[in-house]
This record gives sequence, structure tokens and C-alpha cells, in this order.
Amino acid sequence: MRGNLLGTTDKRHKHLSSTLRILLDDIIPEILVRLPASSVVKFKIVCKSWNALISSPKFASDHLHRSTADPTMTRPQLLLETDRGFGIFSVQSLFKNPSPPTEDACFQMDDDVRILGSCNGLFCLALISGNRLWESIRLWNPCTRLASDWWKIRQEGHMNWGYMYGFGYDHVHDNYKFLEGSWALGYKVHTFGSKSWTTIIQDLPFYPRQAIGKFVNGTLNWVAHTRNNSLEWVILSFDLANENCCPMSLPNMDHVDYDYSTGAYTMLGVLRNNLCVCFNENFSRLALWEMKEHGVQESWTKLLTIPREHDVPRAYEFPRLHSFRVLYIMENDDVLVVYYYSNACKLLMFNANVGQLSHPNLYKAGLLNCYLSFALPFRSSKMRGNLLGTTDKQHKHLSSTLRILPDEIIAEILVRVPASSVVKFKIVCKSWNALISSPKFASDHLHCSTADPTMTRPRLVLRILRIDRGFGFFSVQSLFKNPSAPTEDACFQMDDDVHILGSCNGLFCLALINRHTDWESIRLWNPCTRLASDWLKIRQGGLMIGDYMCGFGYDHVHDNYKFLEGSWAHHYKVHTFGSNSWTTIIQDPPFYPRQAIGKFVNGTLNWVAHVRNNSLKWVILSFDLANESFCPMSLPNRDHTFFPMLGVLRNNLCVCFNENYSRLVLWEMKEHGVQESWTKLVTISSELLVPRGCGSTWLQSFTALYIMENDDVLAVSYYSNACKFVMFNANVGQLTHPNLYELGIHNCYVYHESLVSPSHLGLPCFLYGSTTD
Amino acid sequence: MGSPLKKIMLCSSEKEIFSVEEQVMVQHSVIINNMIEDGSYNYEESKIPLDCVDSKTLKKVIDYCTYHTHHHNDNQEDLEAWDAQFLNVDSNGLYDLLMAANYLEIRNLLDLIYRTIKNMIKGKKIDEIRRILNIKDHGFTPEEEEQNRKEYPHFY
Repeated sequence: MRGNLLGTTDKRHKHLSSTLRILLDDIIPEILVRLPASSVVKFKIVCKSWNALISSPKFASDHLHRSTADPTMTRPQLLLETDRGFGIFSVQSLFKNPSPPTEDACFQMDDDVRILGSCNGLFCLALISGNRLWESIRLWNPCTRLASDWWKIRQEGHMNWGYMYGFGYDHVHDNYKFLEGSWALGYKVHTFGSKSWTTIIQDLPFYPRQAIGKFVNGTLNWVAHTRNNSLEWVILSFDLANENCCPMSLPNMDHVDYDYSTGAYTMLGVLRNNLCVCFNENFSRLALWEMKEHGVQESWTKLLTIPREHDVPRAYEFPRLHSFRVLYIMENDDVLVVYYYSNACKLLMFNANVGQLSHPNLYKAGLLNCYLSFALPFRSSKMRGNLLGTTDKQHKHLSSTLRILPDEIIAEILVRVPASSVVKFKIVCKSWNALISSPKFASDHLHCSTADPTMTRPRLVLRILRIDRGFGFFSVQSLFKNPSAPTEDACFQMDDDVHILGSCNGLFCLALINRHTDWESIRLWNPCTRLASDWLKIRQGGLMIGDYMCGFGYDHVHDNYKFLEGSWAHHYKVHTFGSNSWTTIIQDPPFYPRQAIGKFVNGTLNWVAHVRNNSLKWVILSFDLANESFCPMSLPNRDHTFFPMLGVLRNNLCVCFNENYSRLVLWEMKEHGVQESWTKLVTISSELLVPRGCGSTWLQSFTALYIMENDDVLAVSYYSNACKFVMFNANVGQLTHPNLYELGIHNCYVYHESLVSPSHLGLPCFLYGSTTD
Repeated sequence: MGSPLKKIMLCSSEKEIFSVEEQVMVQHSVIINNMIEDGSYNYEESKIPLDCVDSKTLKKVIDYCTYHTHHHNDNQEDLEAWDAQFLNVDSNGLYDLLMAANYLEIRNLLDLIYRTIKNMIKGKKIDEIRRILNIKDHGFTPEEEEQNRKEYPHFY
């Protein structure tokens, strides 16, 4: 009865262009649905009917089904925020070739976005505004690069204490939903495609450990404690279908002291579509549990324990045990784990059967959160889509017949030229000028020269006496090579009396000194491009009393340059360049700094300070520029140490001690924030260092400035407003050049030239400082 | 990744066929690696058409990949010496290699060529850079060019 088919509304036949080829076109979806998403998405351009087929919601959902059923079809990918955008890594290749991992693809976004969750290959993104809050969200599929419009879900940020959110799929109603709220303000559920939200009446008497919820099996889940008992930890599970919340118990661990520490350091993860938790057991072991059946308390199964001391690198040590999260388990029980620490995420792999690391080194792959994405279907059914993000790979395969190099190849070549040379190339042609002046090029160039230290040589800058208001720039290499007659590479004469308050990424923060030898205004300046911002008046009068602190650095999480200043009596303020705003820090760290100017390392500013009521107890006070909070760190454990001076070597903090007034000891903190990583580099007896006729006070202000590959160290001593240099070898503990020599006055800085310009931060720019030859 | 003894066929713009150990190309070329991993290469029948790579260049690219596959444990200095010898070609040859490496996404060869071209222009005068990189239209107005020449006379 062929006639019956006429007038049928069967959706499958919608895309057929010809009734003659009905059999063939029926087979095509069956073939295409078996291809990995990343391949099939390319087939849209084969023909119009394939395009219609592959773009249809039905195909997307069939494809999702199939790839969920067959895990070998679409390989899992890891997506994480790096400082260059979003990096996508294949999980398989991470296991196969863990050092160094390379991105499969890299997405650069037009806006500052943060991932709020991921499910079924879709990502929920938030648009981060200047004040680091967000009001709008959108969905995005990195496989098809399709995204929805920004959807404003609230008026202003209210991310207060107890705030939580999550993104997931409600399989009962075939909807994607976003939940957010806090116990004080209530909870709302937004359903994508409907432009509506539901208010949840239930009051959840819990505080979550982390704001972001984990999606599993139609539910969003958080580790939380009850509102009035911070020792009682549960898993809070929100059912997206019936939109209510219920608490679930954590694994029953009778043999473990179930105390605050155990619960507090629990991290939720998802393995094989089941919830799993990582516990820090008595600070000595890491235990991994899996909930084999969602919601069934009895199904909690312990997968493995890793003793802390078990051939595991330092990074396992105490502070880091708090934030381990399991990401993926392979069929051979190899487990991929991430830990978040000081705003970076590091990856780690071990085998669940043998309890051993399968790859000995931890490595840092990116910043902040990372997500695992399995199926990458394309789902544009209910949302209007527009392309979002550009991948690095795009346009790579060109077959130009011209003998003229394409622009992107020019960019690849120029990014490898040292800053001081490439800045001159602006006048080669107009397109080079535009390229070299762009913020993207400056950031790529910075990346390149950080990765390859031979590209941009370090330079030393300090006030010199030869010229009034003059700064001398010396090449560090030439100081080592020819120490007896150091000559300046370049010399700048400034219009004003200025002081350097800090340097990072080739940018200097300058202060304008007034006649009271105080300062009220600061500006940014790049000596390589000679571009500077306007003076920014930061306060009325001076407040530079004994415990005044200030510092300049780069917040790599928010891609901002910041300036901190204050004192315990006047509170601390942070200025973000380009934003015109100040944040007041409420924290009151009970310490007195030894020196006002903080050292920038790895997203933090650092001072040596003593406890307010005990001037013998020294610590390092560290200010995290991303989360804008202070935290003290211990100095290396020495009993008779005096006058510690902080320095920076190979991007690590280092400290010079005076030991019993007879020796100088230099320590390096090999991994930032890890107390056990303090390593003694060298001890030098004071007779070698102190010039005849000078007292041992000389020893009080030695600061290490630079270390060469052969362990030659350049150090400076500040004494009665002069700075004198000394060079020694860290292996032999002997001076490499016998005489101390004086180059100038005030603080000196070692820096690497860059193209970063204040104009990239949105600040008006002009040329500042004239070079004298 | 396939077994080390398998061979794949590459076809140059002159339709000349080159048979190469699969492993050699898979390790170096991202696009061939993707092709093999996708399963879109048929060992009996497929030839990978490289229409924009001529035979001479393709042979050099294969030489590079083969050498680096078999000598990756050599010390850095020896490899660098070999690379320097390998890139001792005229500017047309360098250009062709660059385009081939870009097309096949051979990252270490690309990086080598980028560095070579960088060294060709580093420290050079502006006019010389324009000549080396064949920049015919610099895009500045005559007034702007005049201004630049006045401001930075020693760069030209």
C-alpha cells in the first residue's frame, strides 16, 4: 500500500530532496550518525541535504545517543581556560604523551568569559564584566562553534557567601537548565529556550564548599555543610526534573576520623557518569570513592588510596591535598586528576589498581576550572546560533601561489624577534605597524619570550648618578662578561623626578616624587616602546609611614595589571589599571613589612614581614592578585637567621639571610607556596662579601637579582642609598669577581623587554623619557 | 597510530608517488596524523594528494621527517647542524618548504623555518627587510614615509 505514505508527517523524510533516492538517503543518516562529531560537522559542506540533516535537532539527539552508548566513538576531551583562551586537549593523548601536553585546538574569545558548566557537549558561559561579576549567560558548542545570544538572567551580581549555581540537562522534559542562587536570596531555575525562570521555594539549610555544581544523571551536586554545623558534610543534590533538592550522605568511613578536616577537603568529581569524591584522609592519604548508583548510599565504593609519601612529588603535600578532583578513568583504571592551587590547575595521572603514579610529573596545563566533555553533539534546536570564538587552526591550510608571505606567517616570524628589534620594524610597512602595535601580538610575543629565555635577554635598570633624573639600562649578560667596566646599553632621561615601584612583563610602575620626597601619582611605562600612560593620582597626602606597603603586578587570571598600596593603620587598596576603580581589602594582616615594595612572582606580591607583636618572627606575606587576599608563608626553617631579604630568581621567590652575622645564605622556593620546596642554593662567608672598613651591616640588605644557567648569581646590597653589586657562583660559593662596584642609587630591577603597552589596558598613551647616547 | 612498518602514499603536484613509513609522517604532520586516526586513509587504495607541494619540496619534507624520526635521540648540537645543512637552500626553496610545512602542519619544521627567516631579518635595515620579504606596497602615505625616514634615519 504505497499510497499510504503520501501525506505522512514522518520527520525523517523531511530532508529528502528526491523521492527516487529514498533508500539511499535513508542510509546516509545511519552512516553519518556513526562518525565522531568533530568529523561529521565538517561534512555539512558536502551538499545541501547533508547540511540540513546534520544541522537538525533529531540528528543531534540520535548522534548524542549513539556516542553515549559507544564510548569509543567520540573520545573525551579536556577543555580548560588557559591564558590564551580555551585549550582543548584529547584525554587519550594526555595519557599517551603527558609531557608536554599540546592542545588539539585553542579558542580565542572576543569577550572575557568563564565556563559555568558543561553537559552533552554544550558549555554554559558567563560574560565577565569589569567588576568581575556576571549577569549574562550563553550556551556554546565548541565542536560546531555555535552559540546562543547572551541571556541576561539578573540585574546585578549577588555572588555572596553561600552562592551556588550549575548547568545541566533535564532528560524528563528534554530541557537544558541553569540553577543559581543563595540561601539568603533564594534560588531560581532558568530553562533555556523558554526565557522563563522558576523560583524554588525550598530553603536549603546548607553552605556549599564550591559554588559550581557537578552534573550527573539529571541532577546537580555540591559538597556542602549544614548551616549551623560546619562539621557536618553532605552532598546536596538538585533534581533538574522535579526541581527540588535533597541531601545525600558521603561515604561511611568508620575507620577514618570523620572530622572537620576530612569533610572540609572533599572534592566532588564525576567518573563514568557517577559521582565520586576525593578525601584527604587524616592529611596522610588521598582516598577516592565512587557512588556506583546515584542516590544509593550503600553503593559508595572505595576505589583506591594513595599514601602521601608514596613516591609522590612534593606537590602532594599538605596545602594541596585540599583540592584534588578526579576527571577521568580509563579502561585500564588509569585515572586523570586535577588539582587547583593558587589559581592554576595542574594535572596528575595514576593507576587505580597499583596506586602508583603512571606519570611522575605534575604539569600545569592552564588556569582555573577544567571540564571534561564527551559527546560533542550539535544542538541548535531551540536557540538561535551564531559563530563564537576563533580557533588557531583556522585558515592554516592555505596554498598560496604568491611569493609573498601570508600575514599569519609574518606574525609567526615576527613573534620570534626580540622586543627591542621588532619595535623598530613598525616602520617597515603599515600592516606590520598594525600587527606589532596590537594587544594580541604583544601577548603572543610575551608568551614566546617567556617560553624561550634566550630570545629576550634580561636587563638591569636603576637610577644612575651620571645624568640628572637618568635611568641606566645594563645587559645582565654583559655585566657577567665584563664586570670591571660595566657600560649602559641605553640611558633614559626623564622629565620628572620618578621612582620605580615595580616591574612585570616589561612594564614599569613609576611614581612621581614631589618636593616632600613623597608621591601621590603613578603611571605605567614601557621603556622598550617608550609608551607611558598619564599620571594617575592615587591619593591626597602621603601615608608612607613605617609599615607602608605597595606593589605592582599582573593578575593572569583576569588579565589585569594591578597596584596595591596601604598600611595596617589605613587599610589596603587595589587599583586595576584601565578600570579607574579601587577595591578596598578588608583583611588586616597582622605584620610589619621589612621593605615597602613587594616582589612580584607568579600572580602574587610578596614581602618579608614580621609579626606585629614579635619582631623576631619573620614570615613572607603573600598577596594573591587574582583573589585579592593576603596569606602568610613560612621562610625556610632556620633558627639563627636575621635580616631576610626577598628576591626573585628564575621566577621563584628567593631569600637572603644573614646567619649569625658570619655567613650569607641564599634559599630558593622552587615551587611557589610549597614550604617543603625551599632549597638552599649557597652559603658565603661574610669575609668575602664585606668590604674592608665596612661594618657587618652590609650583610643586612643583600638581594639576589639574577641567576645564570651556570649558577652564577648577581646580587645587590643597598647601603646608605647606593647599590653595590656582587657576583658569585652558587656551586662553588666563591665570588666570581672580587670587587663590589657601585652603579647607581635606589632600587634596581631585572626585567625582560616586552611590547605590552598601557594602551592595551585601555589607557591613553604618549612617548615618555628621552634616550641619551 | 598504525604499526611502524606500514607505508603510506603521498602524491605531489606532479602526480609523483612517494611511499613513506607511516610512523614518520604521523609523528610529524598533524594533518596526516588526523587522517590516519580518523580512519579515512585506506592502505590499499589511498594516495594522499598534496596538490600544492611539488616533488622536489615533498622529497625534502620527507627527508626531514625521516631524519628526525630516526635521530631524535641524537644530541642537540648534531641535530642543529643537520637542520642548518638541510635549510641551506635558496629563497624560493625556503618558501616552498614553508608552504609545505604549513600545509602539512609539521610543527617543528615550521618553527625551524620561522627561526631561519627571523635570523634573515634580525638587525637588518628597513629597506633590506622590505627586499628580503618582498614587501612592494608598504601602505604608508608618502608623507608618513618621509616622516619615518626623518625620525629614524639610521633604520633605513
